[in-house]
Amino acid sequence: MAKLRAVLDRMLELESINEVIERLRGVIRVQEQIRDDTLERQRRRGREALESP
Amino acid sequence: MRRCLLPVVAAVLAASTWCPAWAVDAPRSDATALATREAELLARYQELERSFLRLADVLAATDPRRAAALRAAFDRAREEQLGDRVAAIVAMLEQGQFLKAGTSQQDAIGQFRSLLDLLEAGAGDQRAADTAKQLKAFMGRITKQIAKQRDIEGVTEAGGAGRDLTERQRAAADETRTLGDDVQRFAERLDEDAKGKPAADSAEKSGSPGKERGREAEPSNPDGNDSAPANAAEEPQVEGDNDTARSRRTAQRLRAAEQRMRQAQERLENTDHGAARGEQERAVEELETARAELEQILRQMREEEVTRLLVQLETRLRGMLKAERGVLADAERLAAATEQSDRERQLEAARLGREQGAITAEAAKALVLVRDDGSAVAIPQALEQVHDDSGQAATRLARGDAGRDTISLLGEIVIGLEEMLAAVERAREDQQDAAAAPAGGRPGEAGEQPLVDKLAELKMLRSLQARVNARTQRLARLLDADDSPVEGPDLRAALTRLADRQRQIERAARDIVEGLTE
Repeated sequence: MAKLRAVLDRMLELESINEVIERLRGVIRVQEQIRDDTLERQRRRGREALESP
Repeated sequence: MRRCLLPVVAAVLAASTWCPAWAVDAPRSDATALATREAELLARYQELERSFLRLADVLAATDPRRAAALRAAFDRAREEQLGDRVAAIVAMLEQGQFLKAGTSQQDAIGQFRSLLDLLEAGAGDQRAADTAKQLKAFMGRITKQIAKQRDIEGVTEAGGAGRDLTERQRAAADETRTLGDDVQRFAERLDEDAKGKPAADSAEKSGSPGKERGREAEPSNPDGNDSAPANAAEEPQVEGDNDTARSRRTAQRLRAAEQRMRQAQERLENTDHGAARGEQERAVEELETARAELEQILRQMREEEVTRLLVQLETRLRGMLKAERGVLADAERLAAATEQSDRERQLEAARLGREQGAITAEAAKALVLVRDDGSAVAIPQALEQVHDDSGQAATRLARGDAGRDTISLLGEIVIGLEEMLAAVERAREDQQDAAAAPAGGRPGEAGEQPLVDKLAELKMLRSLQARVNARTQRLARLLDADDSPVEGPDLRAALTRLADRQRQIERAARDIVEGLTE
């Protein structure tokens, strides 16, 4: 029983660090999306400035 | 027309760089939406940053390696002020400064990625440690099987027979099969791990079926006396020197051993003891070959681990030495300067104290690295002394003391770091020479390669002892001097520390001697 508990604890620990890594990957993905949208917005503003009378 | 376009182009250029007022007003809703998303990301990141520390505390006792990786990630995030940078991006977006925000977002992505590398490296180290543990467990099981099989072989040789002996042979074959299946699953997991890595790394590491070129199996016994070749021995032998290929070969050898045992069982049932013994001998040979493959994996893993650790240690020591030389030079300048006011001297000493504090923190991280490895004795001792001395020097500088004793302490730290760096560099060179040497020229048990060799450890210990001797003499002079600048309690504390240090050196010497006589 004690051995099983140790295995379970270890699995939980592994899950925890993998979860942290996955969350950081998620942050990077979202930051990349916002960056793309920001730069797209900047390009659009340039076009609007060119087209404005 | 040309005159008419000029202001527009100028406006576009301006919009692309420093955002005039008209541009801020127009896309207000876009700017707000982007700023809101960035603010949400900031909250998510801040929570994640707190998780680094929380998880590091949870893992500190059971998994110091991962805990250290998490703390390192937290320290890096704080040093680079990642949270503040993302908060600045939110403000830029609110003000409609899209280009500036885009550049800062790109920088933030780079910093997030370097954090990810740091965490993944820590997790990878742990995977390697887990793999080594499993390999050792498999080796233990194979050794047990060899002992059992030799015992059965002994009984067979002594003329033993009957249902009991054939039953024991059958049970040994069943256990060997289970062991082979476990090793096969382990090899598949290694293969999966290797495939999960970036392509270049994966190509080098993977011993996947794609690398299993169809070479016919060589007879496992050198005399080629294979009256009844087992099926497993006819499998195309997996080629390659990586972990996966070796694990797959181990599983193959275990299957071959199992089939030899089944053949032996049949011969025993037919009371053909001579033929049974032949099969039993070959089964043991297969088991020994399987164990040798696992030993080789462990040896390779340890070599890789030592290389990685030496590089990390060397980089850290080099950085600490450079910083320490800078602090020493500045402290000497400060001690020699006469034109500065007390206030200026105090401020400069406090600045040096902060720099010395950063070196102390670096020493603590290096200490975690070597203690975690556990194979060196004198290096952790020397690092611990550098850490303690550095802490003392930081305290003295922080209270404005850049006097002779503080400078002498800083000098000792520099010497300690130089000696350690030299030992680590020598260990790295030795390892490169060993790697370049022909295979088989390296002695030593699997998984037992120390971080640095015993001779380097003894030299380090001699230096530590020499420093204790020098400090003892200095304290003796202070005790004898009538006008000693050191107060009684300070002197007593210094003597207590020196006695502790002497005790630690004695303990380290004993550990080295016991290691040598094992």
